[in-house]
Amino acid sequence: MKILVLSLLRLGDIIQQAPLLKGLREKHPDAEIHLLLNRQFANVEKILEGVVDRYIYFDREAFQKGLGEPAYNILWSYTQVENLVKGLNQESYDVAINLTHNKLSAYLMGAIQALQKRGLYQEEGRFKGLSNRWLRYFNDRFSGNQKSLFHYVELLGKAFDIPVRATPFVARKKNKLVLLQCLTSDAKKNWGLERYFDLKRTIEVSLVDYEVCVLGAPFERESLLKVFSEKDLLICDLPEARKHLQNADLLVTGDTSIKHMAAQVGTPLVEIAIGSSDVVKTGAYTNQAVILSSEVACAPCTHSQACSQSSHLCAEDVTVEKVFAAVWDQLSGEKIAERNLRQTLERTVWSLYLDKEHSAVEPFYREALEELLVKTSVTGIKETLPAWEQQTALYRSWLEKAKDVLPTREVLASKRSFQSSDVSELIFCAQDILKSKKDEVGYFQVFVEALLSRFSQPVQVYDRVHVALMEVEELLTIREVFTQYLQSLSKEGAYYAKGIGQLSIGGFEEAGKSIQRDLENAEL
Amino acid sequence: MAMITFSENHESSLISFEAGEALASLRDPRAEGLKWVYSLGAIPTSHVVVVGLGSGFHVAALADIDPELQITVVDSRESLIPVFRSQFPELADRVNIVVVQEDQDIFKADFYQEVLNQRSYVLSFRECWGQQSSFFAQVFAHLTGRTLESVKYHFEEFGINIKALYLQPNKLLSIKDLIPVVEASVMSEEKKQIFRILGELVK
Repeated sequence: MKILVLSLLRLGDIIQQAPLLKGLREKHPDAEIHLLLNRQFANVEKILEGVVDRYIYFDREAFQKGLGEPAYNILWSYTQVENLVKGLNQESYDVAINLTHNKLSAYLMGAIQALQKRGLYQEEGRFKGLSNRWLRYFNDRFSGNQKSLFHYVELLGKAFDIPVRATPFVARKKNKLVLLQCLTSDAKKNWGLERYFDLKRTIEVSLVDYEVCVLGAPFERESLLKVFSEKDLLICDLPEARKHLQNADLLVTGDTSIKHMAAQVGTPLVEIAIGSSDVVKTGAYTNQAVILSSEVACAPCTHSQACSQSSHLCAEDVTVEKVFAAVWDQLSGEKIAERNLRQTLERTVWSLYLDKEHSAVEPFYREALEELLVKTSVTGIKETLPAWEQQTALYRSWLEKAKDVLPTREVLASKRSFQSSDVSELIFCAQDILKSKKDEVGYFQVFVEALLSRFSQPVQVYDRVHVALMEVEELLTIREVFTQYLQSLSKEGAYYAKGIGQLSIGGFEEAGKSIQRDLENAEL
Repeated sequence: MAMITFSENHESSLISFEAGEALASLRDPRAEGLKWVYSLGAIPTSHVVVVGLGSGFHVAALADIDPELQITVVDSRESLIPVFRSQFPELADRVNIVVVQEDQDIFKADFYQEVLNQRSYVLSFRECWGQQSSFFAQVFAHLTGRTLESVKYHFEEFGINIKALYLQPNKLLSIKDLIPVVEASVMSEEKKQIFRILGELVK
């Protein structure tokens, strides 16, 4: 089997995608895996050894130069790209996987001949490839700044059925070394060299047996020397940085490619996610990260645009004391705070929904509950249930109201042109949802976006909104059924506590063998 | 056309003049040529066209820096050629010089087909353009396919609807101008897809 993977983003993204490539290799140990990436990031070859069989380069800089400079023939870049595509097509790939998810990669995927294409591609004038719910969720949440319950790597793994694991904690000999990666590719994401200097001093004064060094690329030396002395610096290339990270106890970093490398080698990290850094999209995919983000209203801001504020508010919001507290927690070996249980429950509900191929498929409630119980305690679930149920009821009331005020298709079809007043009640309903700020994970996101779209025909509003509400209906039904499972679990615990013994729980019967204890061995 | 004259400098190199304007550095024409070549960076094609012969020191520097490079020089001032040939006899087989009097003549020149086939890189040494600046600028744009007139030659294989381009203002064309025309033309989807990729690269 021959597999082509397209990864045409930046260095950090490629490093971040490494667990996906490793998962792909794990799933297809005998496959020939080729990776298409931007030529400027050819140095990742050293950190993907044994995973990729062949690297193919997309010479973006040269192509852009050919398009932008008048000395080049207007078709020079055309010929180069055409030759690249011809070369790829000669490989006769069985599968092409697009990890990039932008228009450029979609067009390139469209030009590549492969028996199977996974991910976004353009064909016959249309964008295709959003073949499962995970991909559609990825598309909905990552096209702008929408929040996602799932990490970028996790989502792509689910979307392409690639097994990925967040880097597990590996106990190892400590070297009492803390590394600081102070500079990022974007000034807005820099916390500030003076703050890093203060942090370094605080660590050295408070944790006297720890050494603190500053990591940097050769081109960053000059900037770093403005604040740090030469002996504090570890100036190195990527493979050397990897070795330093393996020897370190902790990395304190901004949103850089180095943090993804630290996540891969299992080094705990404290990430300062400010400026345009989006924790969900670009946060390190590891269980050993503490991510500090800013609460200021403008964060996260738009990528590639200058800071709109008079001072760097988001950097000021993350104080040296806050960062040191996180460093302390990490170095003292305290367990990283358990994920918020509400979020875990939401992830479970959404996973049940997204795992389904279509609405008629019955979700795997029992397995989801078993998995949940591995991560959390029954007591925690019991404590969370009242607020969870209240939230479910609120979502249900919004849905019922939206369904009530949606004009019928026939009524809208009878109108010549679309006027907002035709769906004014529906718009008010959407406004209520937005104003409440209680739809934290976006049950109604597609519904609200449907109302923001432009329509030429009134029936188009109905079709878009109707589909969106059907999706919410399905999601809420899953949430409600899963809540029953949680309630049963909670009651089961209560009965046991009262010494009544094991009672049958209707909700589990339909799932066949339930998670109840073995009736033959129902010891209390 | 203005009068071309020649004069020896202190190194006994022949410097050409157009209407009294030197077409190369009087003090150090070789260093000037070398400096120009070093400023070019890597040359992406095996055949290049240099617009403007002038005193020829820049052409000699170019030939010297890459012995494998095929060079064609375009100029309208025929009288420059014998002096160049006598001053750089070693380049007789390496440098092809083409004389065109009207910019439209370039399309009929034999080497133009090679430019089209090889998507040749086109260089300009403006210090030697003298009084011919606007003429050479036009020739330069024709050679790179960035004028309305030249598009029909450069895009001949694609069969695009050239008429749509007449809506474009009179400027140097870029691939951005061509993409809507490509979309509106009858051409294979594979080729259109490559243009769409290029469209994303210039966003």
